Amino acid sequence: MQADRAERIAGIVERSLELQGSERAKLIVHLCEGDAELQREAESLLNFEEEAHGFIEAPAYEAVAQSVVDAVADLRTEQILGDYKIVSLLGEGGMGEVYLAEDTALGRQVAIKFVKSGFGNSNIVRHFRKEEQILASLTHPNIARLYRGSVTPDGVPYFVMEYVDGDRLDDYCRDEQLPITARLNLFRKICSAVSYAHQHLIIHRDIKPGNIRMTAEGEPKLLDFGIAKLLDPQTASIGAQTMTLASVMTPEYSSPEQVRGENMTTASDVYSLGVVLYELLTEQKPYRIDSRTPANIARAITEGQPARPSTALTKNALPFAKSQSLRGDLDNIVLKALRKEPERRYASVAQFSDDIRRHLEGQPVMARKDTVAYRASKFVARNKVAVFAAALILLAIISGLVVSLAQAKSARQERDVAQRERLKAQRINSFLQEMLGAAAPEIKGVDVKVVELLSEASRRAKADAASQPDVMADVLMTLGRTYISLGLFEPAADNLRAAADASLKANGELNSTTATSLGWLGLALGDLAQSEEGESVSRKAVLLQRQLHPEGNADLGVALYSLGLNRVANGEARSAIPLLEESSALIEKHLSQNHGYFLATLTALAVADEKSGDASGAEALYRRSIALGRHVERRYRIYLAQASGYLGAMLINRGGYADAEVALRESEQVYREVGADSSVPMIQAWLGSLYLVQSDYARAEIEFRKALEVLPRYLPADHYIPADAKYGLGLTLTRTNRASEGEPYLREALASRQKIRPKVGAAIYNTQSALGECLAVQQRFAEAEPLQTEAYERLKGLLGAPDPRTIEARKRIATLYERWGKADIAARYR
Amino acid sequence: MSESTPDVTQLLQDWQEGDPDASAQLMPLVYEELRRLARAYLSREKVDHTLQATALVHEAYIRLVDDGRVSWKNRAHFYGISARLMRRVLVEYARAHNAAKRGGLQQKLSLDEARDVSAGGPVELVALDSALQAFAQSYPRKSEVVELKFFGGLDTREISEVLQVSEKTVMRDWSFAKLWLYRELTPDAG
Repeated sequence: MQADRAERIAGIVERSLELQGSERAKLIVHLCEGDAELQREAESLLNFEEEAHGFIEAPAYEAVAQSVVDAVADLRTEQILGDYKIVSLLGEGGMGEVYLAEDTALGRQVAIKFVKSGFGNSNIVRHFRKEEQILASLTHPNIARLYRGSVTPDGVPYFVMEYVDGDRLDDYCRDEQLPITARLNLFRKICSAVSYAHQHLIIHRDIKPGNIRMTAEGEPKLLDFGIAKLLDPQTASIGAQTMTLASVMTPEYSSPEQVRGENMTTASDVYSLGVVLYELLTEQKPYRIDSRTPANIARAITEGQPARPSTALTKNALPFAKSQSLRGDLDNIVLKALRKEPERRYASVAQFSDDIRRHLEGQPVMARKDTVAYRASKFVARNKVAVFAAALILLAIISGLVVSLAQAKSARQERDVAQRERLKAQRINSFLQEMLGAAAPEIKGVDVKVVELLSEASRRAKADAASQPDVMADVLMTLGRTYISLGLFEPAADNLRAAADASLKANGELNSTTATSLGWLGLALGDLAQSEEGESVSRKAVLLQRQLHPEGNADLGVALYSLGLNRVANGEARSAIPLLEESSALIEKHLSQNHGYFLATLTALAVADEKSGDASGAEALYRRSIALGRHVERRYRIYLAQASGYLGAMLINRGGYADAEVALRESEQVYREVGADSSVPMIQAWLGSLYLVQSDYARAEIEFRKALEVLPRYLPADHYIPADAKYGLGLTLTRTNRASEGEPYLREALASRQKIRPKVGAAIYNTQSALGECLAVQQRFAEAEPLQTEAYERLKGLLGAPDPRTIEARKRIATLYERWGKADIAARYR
Repeated sequence: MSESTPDVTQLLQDWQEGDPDASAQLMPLVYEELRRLARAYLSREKVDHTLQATALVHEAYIRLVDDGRVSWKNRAHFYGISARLMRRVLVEYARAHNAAKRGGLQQKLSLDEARDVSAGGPVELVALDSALQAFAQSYPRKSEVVELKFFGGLDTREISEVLQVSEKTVMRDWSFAKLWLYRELTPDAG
């Protein structure tokens, strides 16, 4: 009753707010049906309409932010943690903020490090208690003491440490211009500190120049001992977690095993000390890294070879050292500490330090030059292991499937057992697909590994297809679809073909796996410019799906989509439209409007419209697809990129250059954002064309070259996109006084276009005409003449005389004859 | 530099799969992150005038959640939790300061003198919070709209996603809630 009344009031007020003045008054009376109290209440609320206009419109945070700043600033310096009184902020590091504080009980200064949230976990406090005592027991003149670790009342972990008021070791060495010997002696003190800790079974894990400070007495002190471990108790087991931590913890000083998330040992500290020594001796970093992204740094650490310190030095001579003082012993010592394999470094920090002592005393050192052969053999072995380990995960899943299915069969158990196993198989398949396909944008950094893993899995699955065709058919189909979602169409087609074969053998033709594999195979073939086979394969898929699912389902939608696209590619755009319309309706019904496939069908329809001459219909569809694409889940954003890319390409031909550029740039950006690197060069090629038609040759050249640099990785040479890019670059070079440089590009483009099926005459003769232009610029008139005249005649026949391409071909001939000195013939073509 | 804590993403997934403890475990993690972000924002020397709660909640989301692994439902849930926590953070903060520094600071903390709230005098967060609690008795969904918009900084579309109602409904709820709360906080309006 009460609730009803409240709702009624709200309803009346909300509806009244939409009206003004007398209309509103009438509505209130009408809605209140003579209930005077109700009316009073509604009017009382409505009275505040104007006053409440700006009320709480600004988010609470914004409203209070400014006023709170001072208060918080006061708070922080006054905040007292037990016996510690915060004095001032010392700095902010990867792990959190460090404050200078006063230990009021003991009257001394301490440093307090607050740990950023996101580190460690709820176990941290318990973990503290255990390790704190061990760490606190470390007393060494070159180790800054850890007094205690605890957690603030609001749950922020912090460490109380000895405060060392001094410069970083590396700054100190540079500012004082210390000679090599002095640097080595300071470094050995740090070694003795680390060695001492190692004897207490504590690994530092985060040794770097920033953690080494000089006291007023000129003693180096190592800070933050053992803190990395405290924060990450599961270092040994969870790779991802360690990577997270490692990447925050100045990855440049991390050892390869740390970067890889493997177990860390005392050898890892030896490595980090090696990096510190390298920098002390050369004032350079051991690895040349182009961009300092964590992924690049990680790659350099695990795969790169550091330059020898003596050669690093010659590049940037320092006043304190000559390169010959490093050549030999010191080179070998540093590089021994920096070896990738922990077991090939110094066995202990003490040994490392001892070798430096021997060098200082002029005795022979232990470290010897690393041999290339050894390194190479190790490298291969190591990478094999990594790849294999990754592949194993997938193989284990596949093998598990085989075994369980085989068991179910051999036991001749009830049908439903087999049914259940099959369901499980399907689940695992969809899981894999989710993991590998949808996650593809996230795994950008390691895609090489994933691709290797997939190809290993594919090899195994194909090998097992003979004995287990029913299971492997599903696995191969999943792999094929995964390749499609990664934009790798050649292996996609390969796996889908194998899937279809295996399924045909095991399940026969009228089977969902057979039909679905064929549908996807058709799609992959279409993307590989094999649209004739693509069309026949997907036609088969459509027929089968129709029999299997007379009511229609999403798989039929995909098959129709595939058939439609192949038809478009085969120059039958008009007949593709009804297929694509049906596909679109099925996908919308069985998936949703917000599913990426739905966007893809809209885009395909747009392409079909465009090709059958309905540009405005096409534009509307592209724009609808784009509008939907802006709000889809992230993994479907790739279809947004596709739609805006195609729209951009279409607009170039229609002269809408500004809009085209906007669309293409959006497309490029989204493709990059989702990690679809394989599609980026296509957009770059189109951007190149956009600039070319506007005679902006400088930008055109940049885009074409960018595209051509990576295209071979993703597409066969005889594909229309590389051909477009070569054509564009060739013409760009021709028109910027580099015709001889451009000629081979045009010839390649022409050769490709003659090979690509179906033949597109306009593209072939347009390229041929452009090649003629290129030859004419080089004064090779006799060669150019037959090419150009044939091209012109053909284009006139294909496109008609008024087409811009025909016109351009005609003008080229005029120019040719003019330069050739045959003005009379030239006039005929004016 | 966003170190995404895998826990939050996992917890959101657990929540969606029906684990009743997941929300409870989620709260302190989100809470801590919001507090930390709030502190970081507030301690910047120059206040960014465009600073918004939206940014805060969204940043917490970006930092804590692996977006590729969660559904929109998870996201909505996360925002819902965040808005509730933002409310708690801000109200607790205001309450502490009202107690500690009665007078000067309270005046400063009052909501937005610049905006036209003259009639009833400045609105105070703690009072608004109690008013909102009362409002929620009769209008639970509308009070959530206020929580999401005012404390969480979400926009209409996002709120409609979180609450699974149309944007139009969100806007109507909002207009009504403003009138109701405004009247509640206006001393003479009874």
